[in-house]
Amino acid sequence: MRCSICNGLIFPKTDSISFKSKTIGEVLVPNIKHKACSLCREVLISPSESKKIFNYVKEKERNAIGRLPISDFVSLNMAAKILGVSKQAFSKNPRIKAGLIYSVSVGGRKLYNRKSVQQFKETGNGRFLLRRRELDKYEKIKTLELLEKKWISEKKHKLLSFVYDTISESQPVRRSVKSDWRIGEGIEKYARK
Amino acid sequence: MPHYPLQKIKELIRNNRYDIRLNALESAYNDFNWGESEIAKCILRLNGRLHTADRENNHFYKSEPHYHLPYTVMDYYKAKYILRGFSVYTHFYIHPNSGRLIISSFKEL
Repeated sequence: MRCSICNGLIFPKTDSISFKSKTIGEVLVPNIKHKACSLCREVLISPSESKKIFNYVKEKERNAIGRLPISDFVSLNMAAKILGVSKQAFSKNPRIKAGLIYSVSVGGRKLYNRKSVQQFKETGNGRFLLRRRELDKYEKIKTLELLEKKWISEKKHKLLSFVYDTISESQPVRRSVKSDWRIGEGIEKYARK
Repeated sequence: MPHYPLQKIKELIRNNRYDIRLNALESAYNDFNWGESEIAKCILRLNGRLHTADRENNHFYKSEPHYHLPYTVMDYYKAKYILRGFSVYTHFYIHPNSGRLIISSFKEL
């Protein structure tokens, strides 16, 4: 098969594909069977694989929108007010139904992103690139939490190994999970005191 | 009249004998939040009447030789309010070697 851009040869491949989304920028979708041109890297995707890409990107976007602070979201009433339409007209709008305004469901109620609603009013498409900084901030917090947990467990591990070493020097001890826990609890109680 | 009979195009779509270019997939996703099933549905709704005669109801826009592939013609369509109130601009061709339908572009009109 020949490429439609450069007339080069097209080969079937299984590789990750870079997909450009308006919401989260470039996303690498792993393990996608596709046909790629050897010269210009033109990519052709079959229907089944495009479904995979769609689901993957959708999931990533949902996560990214879910990470936005809840204070950025407004109720249906407020969103309709911003657009200057009734509630019914807002929820019946096919473009809004298609998901062109970012929304989240909280306790069975749908909330709409204020900035997205305003952009929708101006351009008819409420999708905008979520700032990397905001997402990074969330990632940093998560990483710090993980590091903190790891640091605590490492500290505990060090203390445990120190206790084992000191005990084993004096008398042989049969190590088990239960005993590990008891020693750990003991150390914690000691630290609290 | 379209170079490729729409009946043949629709048959290829129904038999899943088609490929979508990555940029067509990206623009369909970003402009309409649509995946491949909506793209297929949309192409199944196209008609072959000349768009310039009635811009609201007719879809076929023009046929032109492919820029790069020799002896290949592309069909262009402009369809107003074709699916869920969206207007679509698309062009596609049947690949001469493989006989598969290639959707080159799919975006908002």
